[in-house]
Amino acid sequence: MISAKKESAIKPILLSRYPLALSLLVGALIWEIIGRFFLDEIYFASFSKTTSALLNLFVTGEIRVALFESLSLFVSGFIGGSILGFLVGILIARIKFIGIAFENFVTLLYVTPPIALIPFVLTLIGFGYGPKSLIVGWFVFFPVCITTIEGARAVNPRLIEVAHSFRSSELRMWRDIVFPSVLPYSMSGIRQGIALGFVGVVAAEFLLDGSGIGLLLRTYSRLYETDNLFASVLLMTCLGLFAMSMGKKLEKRFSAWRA
Amino acid sequence: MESLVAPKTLLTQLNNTNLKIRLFAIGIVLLVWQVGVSGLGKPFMATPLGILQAIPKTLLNDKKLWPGVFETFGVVFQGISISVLLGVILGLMMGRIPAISYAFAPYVNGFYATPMVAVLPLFTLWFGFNVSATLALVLFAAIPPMAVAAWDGTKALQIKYLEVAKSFGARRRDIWLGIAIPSSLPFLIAGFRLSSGRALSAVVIAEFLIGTGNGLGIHIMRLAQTFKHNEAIVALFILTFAGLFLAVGVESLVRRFLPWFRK
Repeated sequence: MISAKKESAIKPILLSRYPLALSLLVGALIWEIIGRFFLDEIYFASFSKTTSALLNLFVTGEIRVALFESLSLFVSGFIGGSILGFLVGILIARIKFIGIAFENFVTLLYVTPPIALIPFVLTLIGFGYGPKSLIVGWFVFFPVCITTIEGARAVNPRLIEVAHSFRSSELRMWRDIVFPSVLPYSMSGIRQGIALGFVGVVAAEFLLDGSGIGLLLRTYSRLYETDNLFASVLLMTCLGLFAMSMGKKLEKRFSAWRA
Repeated sequence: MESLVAPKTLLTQLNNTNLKIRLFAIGIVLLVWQVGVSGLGKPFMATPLGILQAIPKTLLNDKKLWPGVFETFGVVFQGISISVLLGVILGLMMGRIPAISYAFAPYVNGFYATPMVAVLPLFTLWFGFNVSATLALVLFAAIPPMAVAAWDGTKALQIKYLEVAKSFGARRRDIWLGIAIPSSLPFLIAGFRLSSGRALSAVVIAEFLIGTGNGLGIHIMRLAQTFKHNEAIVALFILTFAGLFLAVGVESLVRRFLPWFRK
């Protein structure tokens, strides 16, 4: 939504960009006025204070370290969770008895709020990088798995029949028929997984041993450093928006062949 | 953004009738779990038999469980109701009035993309470590998906139908009840599923981090941390059923009573 497409004509850009800039400008102005005249500094940091705090955090390098920690946690959990989710999804959808046997478990775990499992991870495995990345992986696993199941079920059976009758090898059939029709679904799961993964990162950093952005957020709120707190939340919003637009791009890229 | 999975698959999953294989698989999983934990695990870990024993004990004798359930689901109910109301109004206004959509779209999208956990420290700062911070987080998590869904719903409204209705002299009320609401209902249901799921997550994470109060989430946390895993899992089942109800139950009710929704 923020990323304007290059190929679109100039007129739509003009139409869609200026209202966005205007809306952001008005928002920043209201933010500034509330912060400056209405609410106490302890509770609310004005726009100018927030941005200068954000700059300052980058200059001192405080946030760079935290960002790196959080992102590495995200990446490790995300990769593990999405690969496993994809494989389990394929197995459940394409191998009948596995599907019948285990789909119930996946469904039940899927509807349980993943955050509620954090205390169990904490008491069973303890603190550290491993458990935290396990939690992130848990958050990412389910959307990928469920959408992959759906996608693998949606493979057109006629195409598979034709492939069989032309004596296609198993490998080619997967490459040319199954994956192309599963991937668009999995990608929408991955887009959801990206968003959920961020929630998982911050939740794990809050509840297990503190690190990264989660620790920063907690520390700032306890010290009443509201400008730094606002700056970190703003950063998370930007990260989230960026991740969301990346996810949408991925989804588009991998569904280009879909009619 | 999250869990936009068609509930149809959820429904078929639950209604499928390959009962033998299913029971067999459940039996195997429970057996492996029971034997594995009692052979290799630590004594406090949950086992199927332990959970079975803990079910009546927890549901009947645990004096903190039901007050916690009421507290937590009270907040969830309140939060979802307010979110549906505000989200639908906001989404409809964004769909009908261009100026409002330009003004609010970046903020709805921005709040939607912000990981909800990240704003919790802000809410505890503003509202204190109590239930109002929890409610605030639920609203923060649940309003944006509802608004986006209602907004998408207005986009799906077919101009053709509106024109036909107008040229046959339909009243405004008929247009709303006969065309606008039925055609945007699937979007509203999808939005409801998303935002109720997020609300459930929000309430649990808020209770964990706020740490005071006696809700179901913090009760699970306390049970798990005092190594009563069997009881904790029984309490966790209540959350699972709530999630299942919100994901599947509401939808099947709508399918039943609003039959045009069947695709």
